[in-house]
Amino acid sequence: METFFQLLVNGIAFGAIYAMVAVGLTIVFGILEVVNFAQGEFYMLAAYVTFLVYLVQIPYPLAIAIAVGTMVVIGLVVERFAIRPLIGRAWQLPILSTLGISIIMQNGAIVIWTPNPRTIIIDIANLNIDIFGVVIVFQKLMIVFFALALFIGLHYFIQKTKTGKAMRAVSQNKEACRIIGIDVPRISSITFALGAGLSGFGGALVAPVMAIHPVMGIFLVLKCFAAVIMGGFGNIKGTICSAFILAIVESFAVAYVSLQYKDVFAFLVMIIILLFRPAGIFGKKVGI
Amino acid sequence: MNMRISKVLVIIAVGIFLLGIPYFVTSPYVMHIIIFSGIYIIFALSYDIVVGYLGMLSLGHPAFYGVGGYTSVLLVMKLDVPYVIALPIAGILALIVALIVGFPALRLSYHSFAIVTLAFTLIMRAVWINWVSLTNGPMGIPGVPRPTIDIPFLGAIHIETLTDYYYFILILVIITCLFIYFMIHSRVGRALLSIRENEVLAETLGVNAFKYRMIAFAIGAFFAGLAGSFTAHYITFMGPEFTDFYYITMLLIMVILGGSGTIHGVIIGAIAFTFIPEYLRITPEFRDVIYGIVLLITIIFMPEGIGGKINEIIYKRRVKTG
Repeated sequence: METFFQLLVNGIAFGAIYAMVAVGLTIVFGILEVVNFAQGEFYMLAAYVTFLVYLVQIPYPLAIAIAVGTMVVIGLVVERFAIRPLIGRAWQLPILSTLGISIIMQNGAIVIWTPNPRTIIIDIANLNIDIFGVVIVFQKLMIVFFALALFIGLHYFIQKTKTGKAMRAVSQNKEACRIIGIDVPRISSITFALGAGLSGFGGALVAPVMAIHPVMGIFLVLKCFAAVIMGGFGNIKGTICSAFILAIVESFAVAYVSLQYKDVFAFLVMIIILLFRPAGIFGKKVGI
Repeated sequence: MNMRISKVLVIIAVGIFLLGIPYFVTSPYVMHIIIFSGIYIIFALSYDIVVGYLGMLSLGHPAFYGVGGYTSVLLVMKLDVPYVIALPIAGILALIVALIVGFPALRLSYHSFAIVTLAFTLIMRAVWINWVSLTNGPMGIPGVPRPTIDIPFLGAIHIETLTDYYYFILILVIITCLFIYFMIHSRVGRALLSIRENEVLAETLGVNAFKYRMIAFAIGAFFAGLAGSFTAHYITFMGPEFTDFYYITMLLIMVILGGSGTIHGVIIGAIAFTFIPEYLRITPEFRDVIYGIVLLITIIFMPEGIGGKINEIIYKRRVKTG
């Protein structure tokens, strides 16, 4: 029974990470209609930035802020030069350009930092907490806590603020937004930067508990794609639920079915669901 | 009439040139790259059926290449099937797998299709790496026999030297090109183009979009399977690295930079990107960075590719001369 809870807690912690990255993907899709293959690379780069900043003795909370800030800036640059010129042209062009960016970042990271995994050792992050016999690493609690706080904040931002309302409007009808004077390119920039920042936050949070290496982003982002598709493209709540479902299924499947096929379960779940519901479990329409 | 004669002359000249290549290319290394260009021409053209003519972004093409390769290698090595039979079976099995994958995947939206096909590649890769008893896992299968083609009454042709392989791949390339050319100019091709340009309109005119998508996806997989089978028997090795993500990038560059939806453009792209990396002697990571940059620049500045540009120039000249 303890193993069961242990696996459940692990699944939830990873689900929180998947959800953070996947929500970034889904809002970018909902508003720009772009599948962002580089989303996983923001996660990877943020982990590296955290690592580098932490090396020069900057405290971890500040390192998180620096990593997220850097990703937001990189996100803005990528949006401006690789996405915006392609909006309104053939639908596969932005996908291909984000794929190109992903390849550049991933292999660039290998060139700069070598493929060897790096680790950050933070004592408090690796503290084991015993709750009724279930041992939890402190950082995993922090991940879940931050993720929940972030999702609540995001919900408030999208539902209540003026920018959030503009984002929802853009996801529904771009033409009408232009007519009533919403600056669509500005909203696109904000959305893309927000997506990059969410992914970066995930990367900064996992840096103390996972090995940091250049291909950590690509496998994660593929599972996040699975979550996005299952949730129905552009549906934030559906995406979050799917991300947790996938991570929990994966956690149990690795323990009880097979470790070698670890990276396959998420895709199998996705394909099985798509067989029966081609628009995803929660999906019907596109829009956030 | 004049046009037709000059066209025939060009075809004869190109034919003589292609047949003569083994006589004036003396370096075995260059010959090897030329044979690989042939493989990539088939691979890229088959990919272009899906990306260019069908207009769907499949990221599952390397998996079909792998299916073809493993099928023919296992048939020849474990079951002693003659290569002449193993080669078409490799293509047909890739085609069947494509039908199985395409049945759910081609019903999805464009974006979901891209991701589901990518997931398919990764699943196949995981299977090939972990099913050690069949595929020898990450080590791959060494010592794949070179092809022997038995022709009744004439005896067996052993394909051993680079020249033999060259003529063999030349035949396969010509078959692929002719097949694709005639397919595009047939009912199926016109249906595909109509679906690519306007699916709703095509459907209202009675074109069954799903059926034609399945056909195109399966044919693409068939030729990818042939290319995979040939490669394995040429380098006498088959391993899971053939399904590496790198191949997706490379194919995309060949097709997009060459010009998706054009046969000549894709051939140019495939040849160029077989030769360039061979002469760019740099680490694979650095090469991939450059590939990424090339892909990005092409997409932003020249999404129609070299083939598209050539078509544009020819069209303009025709308009000018009337």
